[in-house]
Amino acid sequence: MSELAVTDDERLIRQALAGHSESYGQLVLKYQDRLFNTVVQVVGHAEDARDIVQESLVQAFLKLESFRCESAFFTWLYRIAFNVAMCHQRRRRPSDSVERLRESGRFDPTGTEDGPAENLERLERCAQVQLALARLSEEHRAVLVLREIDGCCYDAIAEVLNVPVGTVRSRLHRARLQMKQELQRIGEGESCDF
Amino acid sequence: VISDEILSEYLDGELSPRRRAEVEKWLAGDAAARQLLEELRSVGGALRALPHRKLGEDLSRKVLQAADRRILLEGLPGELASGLLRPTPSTRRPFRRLMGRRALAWLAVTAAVVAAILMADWRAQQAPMGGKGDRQVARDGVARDAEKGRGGEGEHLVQKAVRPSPPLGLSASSLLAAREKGRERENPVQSVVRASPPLPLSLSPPLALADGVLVIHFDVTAETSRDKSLDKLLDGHGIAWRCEHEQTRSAGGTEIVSVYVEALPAQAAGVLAAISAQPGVFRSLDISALLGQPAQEIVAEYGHRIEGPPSPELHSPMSAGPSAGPSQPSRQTNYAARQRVLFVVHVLGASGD
Repeated sequence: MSELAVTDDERLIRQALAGHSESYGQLVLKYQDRLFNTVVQVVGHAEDARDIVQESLVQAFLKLESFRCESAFFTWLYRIAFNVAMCHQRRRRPSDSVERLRESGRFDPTGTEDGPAENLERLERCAQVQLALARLSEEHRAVLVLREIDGCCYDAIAEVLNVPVGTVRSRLHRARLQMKQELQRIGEGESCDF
Repeated sequence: VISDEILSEYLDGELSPRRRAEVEKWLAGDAAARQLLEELRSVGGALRALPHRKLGEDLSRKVLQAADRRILLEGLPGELASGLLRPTPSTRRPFRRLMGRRALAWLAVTAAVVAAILMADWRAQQAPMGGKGDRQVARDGVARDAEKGRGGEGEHLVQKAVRPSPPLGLSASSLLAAREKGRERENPVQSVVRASPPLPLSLSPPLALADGVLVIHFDVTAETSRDKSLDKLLDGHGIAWRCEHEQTRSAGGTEIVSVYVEALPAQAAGVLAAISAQPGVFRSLDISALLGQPAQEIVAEYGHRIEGPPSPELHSPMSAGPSAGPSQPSRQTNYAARQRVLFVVHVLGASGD
């Protein structure tokens, strides 16, 4: 996150704490899609991800006074979101089939310039990746999504997941190895080359 | 000895230059390590190739509304359980105490007053709710505003005739249950204010058992605080004060003070009508219905919302009416700082139980 962005976030936070709730609305608008894109990969369902994002943003607002600006607002928001998501996931079984994943609306092949065949292939590839992701443990899925999809550094991941950086390091490697195995397993059965 | 775990750090650029050089030297002489590195790289590439998902909607308004609702209702169940469900003698404490404290600290500051009206045991023989005069004032004000076309094209405020109130049931348990659900989409809170078109309410057949809660937001200026407008309004309707909840919570920079009172249905409706009819005093009125059609009926009768800058002339939907206060631009100075009061009116049955 850039210096400018952090400064801008802090300004909006100060305004929100002074009673300008619309400033917090700007923060919501700024981060909701990024957060959603990460959460949807962790929980696997768009509707659940939407609820989690909204609940996280509400909780962040209610806890805003406790944010000390010692880290990026987005990291702090992520931490709240992952706590909400983990609580949510404990009440739900992970998806276990490509078809179910597809039916859940996780894939959005629209907006590409591919033809129907390429689109179908891309859809299938995405389905396999997300199925493999869904088969990981929550811990591995979270660390992998934060690193590979959201591009967080190790320190930020450690803060979001509330674990030491060393744990992030080892957990991320194990997650990659497991993901590799799952992709190979799915690929062998469905003739997809990763 | 180099662990293959370091390959992930190498991929992620998390190694120091010296360590990175060591890994590259190792990779140069180890084909298996190179293959693993490429497989790990492929995993990352596959994940990054996933389509970027977007919400497709602006959550800011929903988030702020949900946060407001959470703030306002946070302490309600416990209070209902300890206070409303176990009646205690009225301990009237003047609102001026609250206002005086606020006035000292928040001169020219706005307070947001929130009223949650708990409908309970409203018997069939109960008189029609609300003073007729008050309702007429409210309707007249709404009608004036609608005629003026204020608030944008196609937008009009709710106008609905009041029918004699149907019998209602106890609602506290429903409120508790609703809060436990916790999810907005499962919680039938309806921000029906600024209603356009009018709510699709069905008033017949009369409901034998129903319940509801009204959550009413409005802002009060420091002047209003000093004038003790709410105090006078409650006194004028003979509403008994049960207690002032001393706890002051703070969230999002907003202080919240809870005040609980008891009122008969007609008293509660009368207060609501009076509030609706005085937009110059009680601004930014926002009435929501929680749980139950009867509450929605009241919202349909009195509910409206005013948005925009908090100046009296811009904020009031009935600013041209006789109840609108004079323009006082100075009131806008510190409008951002707010104090919310959770004002719970326990509506009692006809026998006062």
